[in-house]
Amino acid sequence: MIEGPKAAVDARALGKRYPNGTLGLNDLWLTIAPGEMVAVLGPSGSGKTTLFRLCNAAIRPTAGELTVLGRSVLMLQGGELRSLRSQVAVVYQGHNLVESMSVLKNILVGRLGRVPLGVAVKSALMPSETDCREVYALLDRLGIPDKLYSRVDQLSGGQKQRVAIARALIQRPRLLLADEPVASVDDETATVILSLLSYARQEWGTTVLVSLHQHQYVERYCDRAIDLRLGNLVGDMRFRGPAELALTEARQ
Amino acid sequence: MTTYTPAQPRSELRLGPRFNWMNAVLVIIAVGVLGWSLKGTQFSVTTPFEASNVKSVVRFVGGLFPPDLSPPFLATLGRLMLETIQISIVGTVLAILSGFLLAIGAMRRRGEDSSRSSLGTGPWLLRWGSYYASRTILNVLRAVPELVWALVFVVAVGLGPFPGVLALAAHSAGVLGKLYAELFESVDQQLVEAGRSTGASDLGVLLCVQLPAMLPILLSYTLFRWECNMRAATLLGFVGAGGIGSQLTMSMKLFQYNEVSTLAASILILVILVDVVGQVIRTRILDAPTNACAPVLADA
Repeated sequence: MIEGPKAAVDARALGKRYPNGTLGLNDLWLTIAPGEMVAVLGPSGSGKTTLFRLCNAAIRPTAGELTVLGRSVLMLQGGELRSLRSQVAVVYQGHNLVESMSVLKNILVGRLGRVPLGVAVKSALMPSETDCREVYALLDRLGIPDKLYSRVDQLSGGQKQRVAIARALIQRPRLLLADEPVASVDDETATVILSLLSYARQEWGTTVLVSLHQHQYVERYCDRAIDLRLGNLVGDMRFRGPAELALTEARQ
Repeated sequence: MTTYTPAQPRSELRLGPRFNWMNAVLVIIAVGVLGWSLKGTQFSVTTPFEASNVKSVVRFVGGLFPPDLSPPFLATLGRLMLETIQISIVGTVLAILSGFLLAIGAMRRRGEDSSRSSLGTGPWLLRWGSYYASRTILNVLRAVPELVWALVFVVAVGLGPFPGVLALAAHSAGVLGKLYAELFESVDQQLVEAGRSTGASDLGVLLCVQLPAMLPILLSYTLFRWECNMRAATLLGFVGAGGIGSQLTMSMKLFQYNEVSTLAASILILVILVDVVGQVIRTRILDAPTNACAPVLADA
């Protein structure tokens, strides 16, 4: 078991109460090892999104401690905060794409944290061939290469979801947080999406946290599942350890 | 298995409409204020139709025809129209640039990222300081009408089109800055959070997420402002700040009503021109193919 600074995510008595009094998370103790793919289960309002937003430092804990990729998120400011965020990619439940913008430009937003502003603005106005190739390769893997120049508002829900994932992957994150990425897509697309998250983990060693409602995917793709109810951790199941993992990969 | 029981409204929750005394009082006050204003402005339905007034209007309208289409007058008019267009263009562009810069300061930052604990006291104070400073500057710029700015700038830089340009820029920067700031603020906060989640700076999110998300409305407001500026530019001549207005005052004062009708028609042409050009610009930008500026991938 990897703990402390080496863990990808290390929560100690982590709690979050929103300013309006809503309890998001309560006394969460959780360690996630680098390279793990963890399913986060639980009904709506159980704290899954709160956990993800805390890990991306979009919101601050109100109790306990949270270390993400070796850095405590509590006091992070300015450049350090942005540097952590650039390594923690988020795939949002509502996609959060700019509808009137092309797929290409939406995905390039994912690079904002790792390229200088001047380069980003230049790419937003006139994308270079390198930019296009990088995005094209991702879309190709996601099965929608022909959508490179489409406007997002012309895409289906499943296609938007894939664009949102491409935007996260172009960050080359060390930690990837996917909030219900297969909630509103058909089985075939769900398989593509989860395989891709799984691929990111295998290829780049990315740690993946994915919240899921469909239990049939949990054991197939994840090493471990945690269960949240009303902000409390009520279950932590491990399906395979590192050894078993290697075995599954070998079989594939 | 639990059975479903429909929720009962809590006792303090009343469904359906309810008479509100406060609203009734407010409506009575509003009607009262309207009546008071009508009296104060000597509003009357009959005055415009009194015999003497009708006679002067007929004389004025009659004087408008035929419009003065003599070549020397048209030549002067053409030169003044071009100057008016130039004033409106330079004034609007200056307003866009300065309005955008002021808008960056005047945006109210939302979300936990902007809280004092995330920013640290120093940057937090600086941010709110710049917010109130920018808002105050925008309010001052906007509160003073173009003509008053023109009077100020005529004193400052002398007669001619240049004070007109500065006057339009000053007032419009106040208007556009406020609109831009509020447009950027009104972008869905989840989109902004998604932008920030990539590690982008505030400026990066502004330029690559908020600006494109609001581009259609931003263009409408900006082009509308150009139209307003064109109309305002036709009046700047009243105070010696260039454009077609100088001729308009002169013709009015000399009772040359046939020249006035030509001038009025040319102002109409200018406003229609802005509208047409504005529509062309808008559709060119909004309906631009999304691969317009992108390279072709040979093997893709």
